[in-house]
This record gives sequence, structure tokens and C-alpha cells, in this order.
Amino acid sequence: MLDPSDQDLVQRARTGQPEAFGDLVRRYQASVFNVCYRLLGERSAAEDLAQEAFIRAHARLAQYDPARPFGPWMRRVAANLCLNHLAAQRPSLPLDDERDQSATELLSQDPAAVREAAETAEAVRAAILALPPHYRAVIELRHFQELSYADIAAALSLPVSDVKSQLFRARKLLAEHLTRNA
Amino acid sequence: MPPHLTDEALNEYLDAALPPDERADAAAHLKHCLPCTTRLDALRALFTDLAALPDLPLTRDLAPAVLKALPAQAPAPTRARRPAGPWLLGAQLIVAVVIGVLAWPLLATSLATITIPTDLAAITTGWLTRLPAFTPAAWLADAQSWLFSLLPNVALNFDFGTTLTPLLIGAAVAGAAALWLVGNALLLRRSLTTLIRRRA
Repeated sequence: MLDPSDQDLVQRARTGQPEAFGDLVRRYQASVFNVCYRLLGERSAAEDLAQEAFIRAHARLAQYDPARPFGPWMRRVAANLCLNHLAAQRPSLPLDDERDQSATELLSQDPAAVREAAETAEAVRAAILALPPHYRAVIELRHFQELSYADIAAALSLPVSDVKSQLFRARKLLAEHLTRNA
Repeated sequence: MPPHLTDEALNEYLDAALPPDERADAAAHLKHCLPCTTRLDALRALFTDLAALPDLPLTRDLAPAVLKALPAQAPAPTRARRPAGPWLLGAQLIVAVVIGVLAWPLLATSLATITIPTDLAAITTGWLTRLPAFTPAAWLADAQSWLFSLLPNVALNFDFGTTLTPLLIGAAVAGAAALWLVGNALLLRRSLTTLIRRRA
């Protein structure tokens, strides 16, 4: 039997069936958690905000357009939540030790082949987290949520020209950070 | 050779955000300009690194905690309300039948005194013959005279003593109206709640 579609689960959740929303949580919790982790850099905070993002999404299910895919909408809710969280606490969080665990897990599979990829991933995560929060936001929305300039502008309430300048500047900083720590 | 591409142009080139003509110009320039190609490759490497960033695994299932937190904010479940629909409709139907049975003597008495087909035929014929000279005032006069011709028949043939008392009739009508209002309010409660939430 085929798994129910996201739209089916949303419809059931809207009519008061929490177990349907539980299925949606299990379906998207990993990607939502990773949005939060990329923006926050700390596992515990990322898990808490991912959880909060699902609770908020459930409360806003009436605003969700079933004609659009659920995953990107859900990740957008999480990103907005994290951005608000970052705006509320100015200092950037330090990169959490989980990066080491991720690299260790990869290394345990095939050390020689994945060592470079793991180190690169760790360096990229560190470079992203070294960015100011508003630069981190445009990188997240453009590269991981694949929004257009116009959609990023709408999500962040910025002019498109500001989105472009922040995005290009963020990329420059990322490249410089990666070169410096290579 | 035209001037080198700006950083903005290179970024927009990789984002596929340049207009078609500018993209074609940029592509033509990149074919012959090593410095710009080198800058583009460096930027493309960053894109590749970002795209290759692996997801971290979740170490716990978030669903139980999310579901535990839901009831306070969950939309009011419809499961508990569903049985109310058929029950309410059934009750409304039963009451409607009872009211109909009680009201039948009154209706039968009144209807027996009205020769509607004959009256209608006569009025229709009269209207048709007067159609060329039709005016709203004439139509109203005809309608008024027809209604007045019915009222005496109803009033004269209605015997409150042998059918229903006015109090009972009033109570039946008021009861039916109240049941209709309450029943529809209950049936439409979910739609109204959703509408109010959306406006809020």
C-alpha cells in the first residue's frame, strides 16, 4: 500500500487527526533539523527549534496552500523561526561538537575515501556559522532552500538589490574563510 | 576584448539570474577570458561545497514531543462533532414530521376552501388579455384583489375550536424556528470557527 501523500496527511491533520501530523513530522524532521542546525550551529538548540517549528506549522496549517509542496513550506517556517531566534540573540553561537561526530561517522565507513569530504563539510559548516546572521540567512535560503532572489527578498522583507548584495558578500566571506583555513 | 565580468555578474551567471542576452554575452566572454574563468571556477567550487554539505542525522524522534504539545493549539477536532450531524438531522426530521401532523388539520381545512387552479386560470387569462396595456400599477391591483379574495375564505373556514389553539400553533412555529436556528448553528459551527480564525 502506498504511503499517504503530504497533502492527504495535511488534510487529515487539519481535521483534527494528530497522528497524521506526526507522520509529517517523521517525514520532514531530519531536513528541518538540518535547516536549524545550519543556522544555529548547536544541536540542542536546533532540535528545540525544529520541534517548535513543527508546533508553529501545525498552528498555521490553515495558511498552508496544498497546491505547493509541504517540505519547502515547512523548512521556510523553520528558517524564519531560527532567523527570529538569531535576531533575538546577537552573538553567534560557537560550532558545536556534533560536527566532529558527523565526521567520525563518515570516517568509520570508509576513512580514506571520505576524509577529505568530511573535513570540507566541517570547514563549510564552520564558515557558514562564522558569517553574521543576516548573511547566514541568505546563504540558507538561496543554497539550501533554493529560493530565487525575489522569494528571498519576500521572505526577509528586503529589496532584491539588498538580497543580491548580501548574498554576494556572504559568498565572498565564505570563500575567504575557506581559503584561510584550508 | 570587453572589460572583465564583475563579481555580481559572475554570481548572477551561476544563479541563472542574468537576462538571456546578458547571459549570452557573459558566456561568450568566459570562453576567451582566463582571469574571469578562474574567478568563475572558484565561485563554482564554493557552490559545489555548499551543495555537498551532508545532513546531520537526528538522534531522537521529534514527533512524540511535537504531538504532546499539539492539543493546546490543535484545531478543534471534528471527530467528536461528527456524530452530532446525523443525530441533529434526525431530530429535526422527527420534529418536522410531528409539526406537520399537528398542523395538517389546519392546512387541510384551509386548502379545501381555496380553488387555486380556477383562480389562477382566470387571473392568468385576465393578465394575458390585458398584457398590451400592462403597467406595474395594474399588476399590483390584480395581485391585491386576488389575495383579498383568498383571505375571507381562509378566515371564515378556519375553526380554532375544532383544530388547534393559537397558543399551540404559535408554540409549534416558535419551536420549529428555534430548532432550525440551533441546529444550523451547531452544524455550521466548524465552518464559522475556521472563518473567524482565518480573519484573525
